[in-house]
Amino acid sequence: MIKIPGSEITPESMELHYMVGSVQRITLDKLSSSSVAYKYASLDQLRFELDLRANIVNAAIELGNSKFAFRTFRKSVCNPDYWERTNEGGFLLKDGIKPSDAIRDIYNNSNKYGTECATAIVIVYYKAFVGIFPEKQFNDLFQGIYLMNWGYLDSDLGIRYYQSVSDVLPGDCLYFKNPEVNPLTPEWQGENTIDLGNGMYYGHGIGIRNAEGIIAVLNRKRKSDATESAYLLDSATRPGFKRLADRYYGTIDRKPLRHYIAEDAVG
Amino acid sequence: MVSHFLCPFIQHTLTGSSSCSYAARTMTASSNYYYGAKKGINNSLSRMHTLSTLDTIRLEQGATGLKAFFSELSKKDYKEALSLVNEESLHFSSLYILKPEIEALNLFDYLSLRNKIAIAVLNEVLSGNKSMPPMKCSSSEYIQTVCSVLKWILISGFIDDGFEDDYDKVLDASSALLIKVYGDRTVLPLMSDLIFERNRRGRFYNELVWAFFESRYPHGLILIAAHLLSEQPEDVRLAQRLLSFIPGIDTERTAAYERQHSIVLNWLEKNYPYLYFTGESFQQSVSPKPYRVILDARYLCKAISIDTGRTIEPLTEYEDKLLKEFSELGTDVKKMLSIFSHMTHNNNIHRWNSWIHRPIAEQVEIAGLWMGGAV
Repeated sequence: MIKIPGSEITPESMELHYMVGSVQRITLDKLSSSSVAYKYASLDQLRFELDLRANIVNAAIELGNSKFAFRTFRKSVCNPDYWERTNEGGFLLKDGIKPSDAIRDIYNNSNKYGTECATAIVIVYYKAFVGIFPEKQFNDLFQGIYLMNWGYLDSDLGIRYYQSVSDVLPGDCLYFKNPEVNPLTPEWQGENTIDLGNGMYYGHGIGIRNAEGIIAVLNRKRKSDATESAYLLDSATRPGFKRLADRYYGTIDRKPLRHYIAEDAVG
Repeated sequence: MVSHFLCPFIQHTLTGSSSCSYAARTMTASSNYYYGAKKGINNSLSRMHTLSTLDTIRLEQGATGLKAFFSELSKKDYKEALSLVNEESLHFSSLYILKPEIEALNLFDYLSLRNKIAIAVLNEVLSGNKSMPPMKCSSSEYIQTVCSVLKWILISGFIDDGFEDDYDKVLDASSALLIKVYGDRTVLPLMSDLIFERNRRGRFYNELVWAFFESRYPHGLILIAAHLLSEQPEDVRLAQRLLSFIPGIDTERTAAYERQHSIVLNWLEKNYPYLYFTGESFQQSVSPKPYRVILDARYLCKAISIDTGRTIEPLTEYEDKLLKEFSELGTDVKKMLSIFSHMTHNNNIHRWNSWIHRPIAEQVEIAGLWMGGAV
């Protein structure tokens, strides 16, 4: 269920604003029908999360359809016009470059980039934010972007890892674990994916597939005598939706959210 | 870097606790084990202090000079060239550099078993080439030799870490194979040194960290904790990050590192028998928790398997009943009760026996009183 103190607009009435099958609608239905109480300070906070989740899904699909390559950190590549590749294989925003331009370049010149799956998820998040925050605000918020794995994140993203989530929602980052990975290819120890809300997942290096498809690829990356299959964990990684919403609404005048794509591309 | 092997963590763990608890005894035994392991590695290095001819040339003339010397010698006297490359004291880095020359001159078949296996490993790691050349040895000899070759690669090769990305990758892969296939924990001190050294230089260390934790050996955390006492701020930051799953280790803290170091040792001492390896890594999570304390086990004071999280000994009917009641408590009460149980078990087994046979409500009351009403 959804709890919004003092709000006269119910989640049910909000459904009318979103198309059936859209990420927002799927998310809203899941939140409403859950036995868990999802609390929001305001309707705006809820709307922000719904729209950001839709942006995450769309950014994942777009990256999945791009020429962005899978490469290990040792062999990672990026466009040197925007990013400096560090010795450990991460991408550091170059001085004098707008963060929004650099993130867009990963999509526009995707053939110039290649890295591992966790970094791809962070890129998806930033692209989703570029689509939702006004450019100046985005660039003020995320000035020193460093794209590597989960260990190097801007605290403003508020990204957290949640164990045993009750409800998996579109836009969640879910992890497929590969416990018997070949020790020579630790990059396949698991796969970070974005739940697209329609039974499909985007995982960098694997593409857009259902859970069985992701597991089948990971199983091919196991050690030769492996007996345990890869599997989907019941955890989820999520950006700090409420924190980001507060950033969005706290620092600029209220205005309707700009949408990444006019209508949802999911389904 | 070699001198760094004898880092101060040993002293801390040898003298850190006067308790005679199981965990404390295990800690001391573990420290002795590590001391032995480091001593063993140092002995291996000492043997290599007598530099081979090819290593001497490499150090004096660099990789290009070594290649030129070897090519020329091979043309003049290939037996002498083979004798030099097969020297027992040769460092892995020289073999790595000479691999293209060895292949170009078709010398592979004349290499020692160590060098043949090392080159086969190198080929598989770097190009995925899995074809194994025939080896004239029994399967058991082969299995044992592969392990010692991987250790040779790592122990003789780590000093040249950073030579190039592919070279580092071979070191990382050798570490992972030693840990994951051979369960060899003696290389953990060396891996720890490599991780922190690479971090200082801003180089890639994630796969080493992954392999380090995959050892499923909580005492390895002592090696990381030692870096909380480092004078290098980047060492401290990395140690905090890797240990941040331990309550009280805060990546935002910029002082009281000695206290944080003690927190790690105390946490290990109290929880070692009850730790379960989760396999979480930085690829999976923003805040990986590679080890989790199983509260049920700590409450019953029963050691668990680090792989499954289940008690090693089967539970009695009474213990099953206790756990059922325990499972209905809130998380905070569970934590408090299990801490009290472990503490009392170690301090006075008779008092613990009396306590654990009381109704659970009384257990909670007694534990709460002893622990200052911390329920």
